[in-house]
Amino acid sequence: MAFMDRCSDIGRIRGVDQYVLVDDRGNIVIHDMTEFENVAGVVWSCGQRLSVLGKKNFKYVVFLRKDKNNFLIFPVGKYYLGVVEQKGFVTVEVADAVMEFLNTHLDKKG
Amino acid sequence: MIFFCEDCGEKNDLEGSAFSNGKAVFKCHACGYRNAYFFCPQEKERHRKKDRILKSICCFSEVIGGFLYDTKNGVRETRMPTSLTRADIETLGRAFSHSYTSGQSAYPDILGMYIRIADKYFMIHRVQDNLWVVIVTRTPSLPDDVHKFILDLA
Repeated sequence: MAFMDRCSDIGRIRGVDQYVLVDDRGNIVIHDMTEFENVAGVVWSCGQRLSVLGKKNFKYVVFLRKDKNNFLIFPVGKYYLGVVEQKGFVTVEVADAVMEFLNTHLDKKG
Repeated sequence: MIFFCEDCGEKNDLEGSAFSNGKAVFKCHACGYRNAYFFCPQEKERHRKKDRILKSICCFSEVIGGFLYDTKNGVRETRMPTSLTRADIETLGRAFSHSYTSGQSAYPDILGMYIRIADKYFMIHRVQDNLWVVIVTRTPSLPDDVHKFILDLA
């Protein structure tokens, strides 16, 4: 099954509360998020800016929030994925789970 | 640089050689009064303190390096590996501070951020309006003592 067909499964990854996937022009591809438009812009601008530092080496960025719903951005080929973490989860474990999902399905990107 | 005599008020134009250790010592050309100015000592002390704190942070075994980035004046202090040039560190500081600000536009309650690049973690904290501390570590969590140092930087 192609990566794009599996995108809706991102919401099932352990520790993921909300998500939004944007392409390299900032267009929203898929989302399950409240106030997704504002967040999509941040995902795109941060993703692009940090990818300049080394597309292969940039793994993810975590924004630590006072309310504990930490916000993460991952580069996914020509896309960028923004994830809001569920409260009570260990951020590094959530990041690893998302990266494992992406690595499993990225080569089948469609 | 222009300095006014403390005694007669006459204008004295001094060369850079008249300054040392944050002090300008000169004899007024009009009245001969010997002046000794201390310029920005508090600012210098603040910079020294930040450098000391950065040095302390970099002593932890988990910490690879770090730097202070000022959005107006660029890199202020650096203890990054010498393989990185000043321009490289400027690029990192600019990218990190812009990303942090961008993140805050969606989530104003952001307290800090970290970025995983290869197997390193770049911890970024805003310590003043225009000042950021960036710490490079081998692990995604900082020791409590390092957090305390970061709070001291603010």
